[in-house]
Amino acid sequence: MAETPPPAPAASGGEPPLPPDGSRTDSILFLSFLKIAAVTVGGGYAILAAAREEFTVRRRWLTEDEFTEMVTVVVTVPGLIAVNAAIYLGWKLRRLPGALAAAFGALLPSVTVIMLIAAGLSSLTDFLNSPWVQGAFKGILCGIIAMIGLTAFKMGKNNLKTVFDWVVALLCLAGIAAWHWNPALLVAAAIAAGVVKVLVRRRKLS
Amino acid sequence: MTLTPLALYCHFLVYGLLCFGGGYMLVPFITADLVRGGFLSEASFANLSSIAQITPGPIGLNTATYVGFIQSGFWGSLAATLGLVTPAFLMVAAAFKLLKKYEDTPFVKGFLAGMKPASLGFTCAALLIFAGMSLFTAQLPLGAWLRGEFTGVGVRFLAIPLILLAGVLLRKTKIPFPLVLIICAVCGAFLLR
Repeated sequence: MAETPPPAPAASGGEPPLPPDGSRTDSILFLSFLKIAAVTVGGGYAILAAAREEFTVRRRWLTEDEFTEMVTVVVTVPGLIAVNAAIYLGWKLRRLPGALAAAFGALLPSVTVIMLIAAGLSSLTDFLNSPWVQGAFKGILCGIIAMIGLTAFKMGKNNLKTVFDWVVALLCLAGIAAWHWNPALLVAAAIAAGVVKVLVRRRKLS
Repeated sequence: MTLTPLALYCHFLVYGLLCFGGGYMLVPFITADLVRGGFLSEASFANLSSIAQITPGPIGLNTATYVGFIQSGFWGSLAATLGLVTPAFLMVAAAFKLLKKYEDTPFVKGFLAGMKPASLGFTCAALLIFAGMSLFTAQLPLGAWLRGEFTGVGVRFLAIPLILLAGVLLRKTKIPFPLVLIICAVCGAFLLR
């Protein structure tokens, strides 16, 4: 009706509008990924769930759909899922400077902590193996299970719409968790199945 | 036998290019290339795997930093890490542009149609793996279960309220997630020892 729609239309369901682009700076990207990498144990998928908390839930820089799209890209491209996510998000929001800032933030905690451990602080290794630290590690994993659980629930609610979706999701779950297949093969098979599905639907329509 | 930073950079650059499926998939490359090549002992690699798991940050990065450091100190660490990350910059940026450019082709549509449910499946698999490290005393033997062989695993019942607490804090309060994880760590140190 209105000839010029507002640049950031208010989201439905009483959600606050997205923040202006000016608030998305390289330094926030750097600090956010530094924070995520410093507190999240468990690697790629844990870090993706943490990134969803930070960028979708808290900062509202990404919609749930954009988050899912990011996950599809970063698990397909070779390399580390967490680093790919940092580069993807940085690139999406701020191009190369953003990608560098986010990736550097994701790198810094690992590099610092591991260098200290590798530098022969054997007392640190004993400390890491103590029951208190092992307990704390399991405790953090409980928090991460909750975080990934919420992420999976949201992704499922938005993306499991057809029998095809359920079959692909369950096969990928069982392929990794029960049959220990190579994830690269599952990715290739899922893409092939998706392309076939799109082509079949197109032929039916025409 | 040790590797210079430049050699480390090149080795990890290749891993970064070929390692599909995230940091866990780095292990077979390092075993095949560095352990069998005599650059890294089995013992220090086993030690490394346990450290890379428990320290925060991406597991693949922890691995690269550690291997690089044993091989040639600070610069080795830096070289290995940067080598691993370099290809990702090119490929993620390329993926980003290609997806935009070919948005309406059946390939990109099919990619999204297939990979959206697939990545949900992977996320749920990660959930089970983490549950096998905390909520249960071992990884769930799903393969055996699907074949009809029922063997049990131990459950740490104290983990259940902790998971629920974390879920409620994340979902219902404004407490930022790092603080939630720290609360979980403190509770875990007392309850899950």
